[in-house]
Amino acid sequence: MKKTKATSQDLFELGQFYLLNQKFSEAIKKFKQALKLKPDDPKIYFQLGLAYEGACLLNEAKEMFRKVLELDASLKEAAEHLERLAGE
Amino acid sequence: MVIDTDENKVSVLSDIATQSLVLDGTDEKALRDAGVAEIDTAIVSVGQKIDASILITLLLKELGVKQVIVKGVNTLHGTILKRIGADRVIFPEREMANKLVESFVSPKIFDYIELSPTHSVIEIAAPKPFFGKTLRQLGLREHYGVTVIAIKKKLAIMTEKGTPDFREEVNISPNADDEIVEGDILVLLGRYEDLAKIERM
Repeated sequence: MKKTKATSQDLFELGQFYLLNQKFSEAIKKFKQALKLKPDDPKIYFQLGLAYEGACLLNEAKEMFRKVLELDASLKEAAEHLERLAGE
Repeated sequence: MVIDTDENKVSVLSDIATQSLVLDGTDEKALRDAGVAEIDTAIVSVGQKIDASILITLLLKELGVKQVIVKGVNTLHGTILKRIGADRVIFPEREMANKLVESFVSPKIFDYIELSPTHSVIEIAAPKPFFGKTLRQLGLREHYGVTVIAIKKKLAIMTEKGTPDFREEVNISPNADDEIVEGDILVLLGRYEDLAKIERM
């Protein structure tokens, strides 16, 4: 049987699955792997930020949301999360 | 009951108070006429006016108010207030500064309330060794000397826009069979040293 390599999209979807199932550490691992394959994707950074937020790693989460805004300032969800976390 | 000499301040708070009066808190007769003596707990907060807060505190105690809580400006002011009968002196600025220091020191602690010189309530990210265990299994009171007041859970949801977000659910006074999972925030009551042990986990 031929083994195929996971694409960044596969890893992103897997990360999102873990995120929605509250498995934040697993989600963080998958999003980080996805970023290795697609290092400038703001969507992956955003979801990695959410996973960090879920895991209560707020400094890391803020860093990711800032990165999202650097890459794409129009992603207002990232700005909202950043603002929310700044008040924590 | 809300009392102040400033009509604007009184009117702002009139919606949340059963009675709001414009009068001078340093006027003993006015306080007596307003029925202040019937109050169980009074809170004195007059900004930086040390002389006014001392006089009001003294009058309230003499009128028979059971508990008088006063906002202190500095340590000396606090000492005087306690000498003349204040039941509790609070220093909001100092408490806020302590809170800030605490949150800077530990990114795991999200909120902090000082209850007494020995005890406090903290909101802390559940430590990894707690994941997947029930409160009964953890035995926090027996092994760590702390009480779990509430568990805040972040439930991941999918928004209408198709992006994940969180909905917070607070489980107040949780049961022994409630399980701690990754991402939970625990609201704990305990002695400083016991809470610090959990913070270091």
